[in-house]
Parts: sequence; C-alpha cells; structure tokens
Amino acid sequence: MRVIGTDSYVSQKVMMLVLLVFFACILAYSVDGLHVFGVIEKGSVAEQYLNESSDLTGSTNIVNSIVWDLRGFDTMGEEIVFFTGALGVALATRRMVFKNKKDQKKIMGEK
Amino acid sequence: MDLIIKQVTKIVFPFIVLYGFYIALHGHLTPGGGFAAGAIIGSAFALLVIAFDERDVEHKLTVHELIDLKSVAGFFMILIIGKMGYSMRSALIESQTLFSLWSGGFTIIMNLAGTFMVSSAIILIIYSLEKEAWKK
Repeated sequence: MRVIGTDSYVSQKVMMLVLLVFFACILAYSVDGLHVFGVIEKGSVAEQYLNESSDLTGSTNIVNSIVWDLRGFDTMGEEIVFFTGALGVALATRRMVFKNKKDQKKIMGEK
Repeated sequence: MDLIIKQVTKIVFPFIVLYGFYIALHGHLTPGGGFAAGAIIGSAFALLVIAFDERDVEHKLTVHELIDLKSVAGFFMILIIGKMGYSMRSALIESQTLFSLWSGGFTIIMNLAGTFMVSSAIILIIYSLEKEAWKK
C-alpha cells in the first residue's frame, strides 16, 4: 500500500473521500448555527427592513427599496459591471475604418 | 423575415416599450423594477432587429447616439442621486403619500436610471452581434 498524496489512482480517490467527509462535517456544523426558518429574531437587520423600510424610503415594495435605495451604491456598481460587459462586446465586434492603405498597414501590421 | 412577422412587430413594438416603462415607473409598488424593465425594452429592440432588415433599423434609429445619451444620462443620474440621497431624502418623502404613484422617494428615480442603463446595454449587445453577422 502506498502513502496518501502520491499520484496513484486509488490514493487520489481516498484523498477525495477524506476531503468530502471533512467539508460535509463543516457544512453540517454550520447548518446547526443558522436561525430557525420563518422566525424573525429581535433586533436583526431583516426585522428592521420589514418594519421600517417603507417609512425610510417611501416605497411599499420592500425588495425594490432595498435594492435601489438602501443598497443603492451596490446596485450602481452592478450596473457598471453590466454596462462594461456590453461595452466589451461592442469593442470586440467593432468595425475598423481606415483613411488609407498606409494607416491600415501601420495599425494592422504588414500583409 | 416574413410579412406577418413584420406587420405584427410594427403593431406590438410600441406597446412592449410602453410596458417596459410601466414596469419601471411602478417598480416601488409592484414586483419588477429597473432590471426587469430594461430587459423588456431591450427585448423589444431585439424583436425589431430580428424582424426587419438590420441595415434599415440601424440607419433609421441611429442607435449609437441613443446609447451614448442614455448610458451617460443613466450613469450620472445614479451618481448624482446617490450623492443627494442623504441630504434631500426626508424632504422628498414627506411630500409623498404611500401606495400612490408619486411615492417611493428616490426608488422611482433610481428605477428609471437603472432602466436606461440596462436597456442601453442590451441594445448595444444585440446591435454589435448583428453587425458581426452583416460582415459576411
């Protein structure tokens, strides 16, 4: 039998199994610390949003009041990421126009 | 495309855009908001590009100017409102009544700005990809 960590097929499988059990234990442990589903704890952010967001922002749609007002700066960054992606597509598919053959050779290389 | 698709697109297109703006303006009251409204308006332009000859659409709409204007406007709207939000928020909200169309404070303006950004980005993507297809 070879030591775990060498490059044999069986040892890789054993290593994977050990890691799987390890991460499963971590996840099971962290699930134990979660709040009970459907019960709002006193003084949590969720309770504050549900009770006060319509007074704070004047919007009755709580999801929208969080996304566009209370977390508006985050949404602005999201929009910038989205628009940068669109600009990247436009940049990759743009059509190049040259004044003359000399410019074309200079920019695109000799051909 | 087909004659039927062209005619139906002519009729349906303004209503899709109108529905998009409805979703944006009612974002603080009903489900939806800036992202959904922008996607609806962008899909309307996608329908236009698919149904008609693409060269005609680009020639008539001059979409690049539209996109420049819209994206810059949306970006600066979001920035300015974000700065103003902390000083003017309470005064604006006090002038409004809850559950009516003129409510929501800055949420309604942010929804409109987000709609401009998202729809212009989607139109930009669609037109760029269509242009790639024209090259052949």
